[in-house]
Amino acid sequence: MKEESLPVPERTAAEVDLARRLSLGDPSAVDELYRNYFDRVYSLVYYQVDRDQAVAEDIVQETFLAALHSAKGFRGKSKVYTWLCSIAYNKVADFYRRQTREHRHRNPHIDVDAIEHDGQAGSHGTSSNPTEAAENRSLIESAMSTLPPEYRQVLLLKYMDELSVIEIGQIMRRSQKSVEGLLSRARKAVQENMTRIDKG
Amino acid sequence: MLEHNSRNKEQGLEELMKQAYKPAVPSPEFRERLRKRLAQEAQGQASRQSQPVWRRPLMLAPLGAAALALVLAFVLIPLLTSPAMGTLEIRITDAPPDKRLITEINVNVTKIEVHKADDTDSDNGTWITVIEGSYPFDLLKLEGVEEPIGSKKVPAGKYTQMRINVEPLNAVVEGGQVVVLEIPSDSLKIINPPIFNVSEDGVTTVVIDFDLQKEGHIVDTGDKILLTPVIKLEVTRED
Repeated sequence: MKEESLPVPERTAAEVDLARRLSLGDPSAVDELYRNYFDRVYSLVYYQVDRDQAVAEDIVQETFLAALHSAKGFRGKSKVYTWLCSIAYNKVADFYRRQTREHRHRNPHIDVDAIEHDGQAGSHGTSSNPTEAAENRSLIESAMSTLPPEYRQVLLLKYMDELSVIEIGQIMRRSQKSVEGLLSRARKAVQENMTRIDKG
Repeated sequence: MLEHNSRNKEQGLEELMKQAYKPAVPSPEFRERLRKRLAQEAQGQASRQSQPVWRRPLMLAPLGAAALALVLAFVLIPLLTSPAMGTLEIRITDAPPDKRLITEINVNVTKIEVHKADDTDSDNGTWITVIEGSYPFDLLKLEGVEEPIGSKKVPAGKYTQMRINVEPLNAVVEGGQVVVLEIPSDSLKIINPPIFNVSEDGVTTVVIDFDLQKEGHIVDTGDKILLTPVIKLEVTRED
């Protein structure tokens, strides 16, 4: 499948400078990369692997090392954070591929692009009541944990990390239209899960 | 009306997710460990870049370096049916053992094979010998950084496994005494090998990490050193 060309999200002067120094192999740029993005990347990975701290640490370490080794090839076509997220995304995908292969009999591969959702999702609003808010948090966490990894990833990128569809497309190597479709299916799936858990 | 409901649902979901997914806090130990590792890697990379190419191969690498790593690169036998080629680069690294009594652990990589999956069935495929010969190195000098020594073209495709044959050479303990080194199996175990792809005209780098940290990976019996490293593969570049 040919990747559609996507517009480049606006980058700050500092980001452009960091990308340039990274591509030149400047050690101070690596330190800056770590200081600026470590917490965000860790958070994203941590939730993508369902809060498994050991796995998250492995993947985050692999991500930064891979970024360091491929920094020379970073052409600055995306934001630095988007570039890091795309590396992390591939590492997380590797992790789930390995898991799928190891537990194929229990977790058959799910092609998220082929999933259709016919049912109507329930409505779960936010609440100012602390008990209800805690219940809602628990509900969405449970609903997210049983989603296919790609659904979980796209939802986290969109709503936790607040990235644009264009940026998500760069990370997941999908067209804007494909990301929108994936998001729509992921939203339906998580809402259906929430309804099911709520009723059960 | 339908669109309005859909928007409300999306807003509700967004709010719920923001409540549930607050920034996660990494452990201070991991934060510090990664910071140090990156600084070490960046420094090693910078110092390598400052050297002329002819000084980079393992045998000529500076002994005073805090770490040393190998990259073994190879050519896969061209497949008659697969003309598309990409670059697969293999690197070797390790973390240092806790005990510093042993100053050198010299081994010889004699063979590396990779398993190229069939295009239609990833469980089947072909084992291909990608490197065969004599690649001696001291495991204790492979701390934290990798030293590329070359790269070659390989067929594009998906690779699912790797086998590494290593023969023991010797170990050196404090004071310079050379002792016998033994490895129980000459074909070393790889934990959870990652699937990696070599794209047409792309570059894939695989790092072979010899883990000697855990208790029992190096046993000093007095007259010989028993070595049972666990090997992890890390795909550090795939584009």
